Amino acid sequence: MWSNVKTLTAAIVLLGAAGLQAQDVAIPAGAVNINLPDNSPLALKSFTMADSRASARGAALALDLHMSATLRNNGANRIHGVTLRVVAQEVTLGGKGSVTYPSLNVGPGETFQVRIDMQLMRPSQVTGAPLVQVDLDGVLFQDLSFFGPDRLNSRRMMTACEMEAQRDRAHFKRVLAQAGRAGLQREMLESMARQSESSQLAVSVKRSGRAVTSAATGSEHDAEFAFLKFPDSPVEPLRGLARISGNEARAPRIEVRNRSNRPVKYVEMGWIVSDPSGKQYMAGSLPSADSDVILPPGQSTRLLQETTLNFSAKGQPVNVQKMVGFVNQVEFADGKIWVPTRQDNALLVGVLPASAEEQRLTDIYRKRGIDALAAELGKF
Amino acid sequence: MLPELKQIPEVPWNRIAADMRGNIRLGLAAGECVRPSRQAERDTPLFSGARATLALASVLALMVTGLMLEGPAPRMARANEPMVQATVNGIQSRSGDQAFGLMHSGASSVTYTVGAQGTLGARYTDPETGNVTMTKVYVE
Repeated sequence: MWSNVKTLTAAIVLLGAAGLQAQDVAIPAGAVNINLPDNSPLALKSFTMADSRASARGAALALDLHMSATLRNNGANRIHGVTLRVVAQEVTLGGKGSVTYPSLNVGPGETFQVRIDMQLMRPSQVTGAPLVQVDLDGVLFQDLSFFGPDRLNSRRMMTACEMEAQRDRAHFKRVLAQAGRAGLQREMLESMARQSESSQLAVSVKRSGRAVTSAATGSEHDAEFAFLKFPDSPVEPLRGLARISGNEARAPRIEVRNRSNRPVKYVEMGWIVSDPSGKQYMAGSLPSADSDVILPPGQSTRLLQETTLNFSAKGQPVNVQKMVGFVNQVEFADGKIWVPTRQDNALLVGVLPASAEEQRLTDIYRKRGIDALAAELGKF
Repeated sequence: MLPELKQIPEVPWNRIAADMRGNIRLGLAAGECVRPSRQAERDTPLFSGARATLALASVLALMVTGLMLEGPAPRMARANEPMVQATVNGIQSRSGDQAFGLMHSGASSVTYTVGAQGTLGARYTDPETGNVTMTKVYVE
């Protein structure tokens, strides 16, 4: 893999950067360790870190990493998703992230390119260890089988993305079959308009209580969730509340009941907030805890997180007036995933963002036209 | 007697002594004329109120300047709390002076997703590879 000599060289270069005020130096490839298991269906074909720089800023060291790799599918199945786990010196400093590539369609022997752009700010002390460790967290195949350690729950996330992708491809293929390319074109234009019109909140999240810097002025109070209930959802929201103060929401908790006849092990609620003018924003999601708690049929449980969310839009605080919750994702004990239908999501038009697959398909239409889109749909 | 003393002419010692006594008296009188009176000394003490105020203000200004130059401005304790947030071209996990960011420079349409458990995600189409890419950072 990567030799100790390269790592040492990287450390020396970065130490040099720490000593040179207001100058920057290139970061060698040895500063990044890419770890693919021996039995991985992915193989690293090439890797580059062009234009990656380290510069000293006062007592700190700023690292700007641009990684680009070509991966080859060495397995026998088509790959539909890959998640990489990215860690910056886990033990000493922390800093963890993931990069997921959903909606892939990579056949055996085929290659695809991935990019990871990172910025790290850290004290200047450099140990001999690589600065960044990139591990394979999971690979999702066309048949929804999975490979990988799944430390970041990437199997569930990529499976949900794949379920949404299958749902949306089926919809657009149906439109193409029933209304031809003109009908598909209308659908694309409508989707692009929805994507451009949806308003986004800038949200920061922290684990603790109220933020000192909040624009919140009023006293904190409990606010109840209203619920949008989908008829085919296997889980039903019962009641919920969060502590609200101005543009902050804290400690959200929602009680849900499993109304299906199958045990459930994960529930994720979507969370919409309205400002005083009635404008709605997608605020985030409220997942159940990561621990494998099984919710039997007919039983209820409470989703809660001890975090504080701070909302703003275009630099201005968005005071929370109302909150709406809806069931966004359910995982059964057997690993099957439920996601809302397009008819369900139509109730949240203008608020809910398009799926990753709808985003990909509209991007193909925008860049390459309706014929390329029809050809793409024909590949699945 | 030494031979040199024999060469000194006759000196009128009594007259010279009278002149010297007169000159001394004249000097003492002139000194009395130019010396400040004791009352004036009491009106301008070494540490008057204004001078003391000025000195204290100077010391205070020196101390404040020193604090500003030598130490960072006092921050609220909460500023060092771990948090995740969106930045200009990416998403970031930050704690004090350490930051971990995943960037999406060049992406035109970015969708952010927030997890109340302490995650922030970004979804975009990579302008170079054409792949839909989803990044996520975690509150540590």
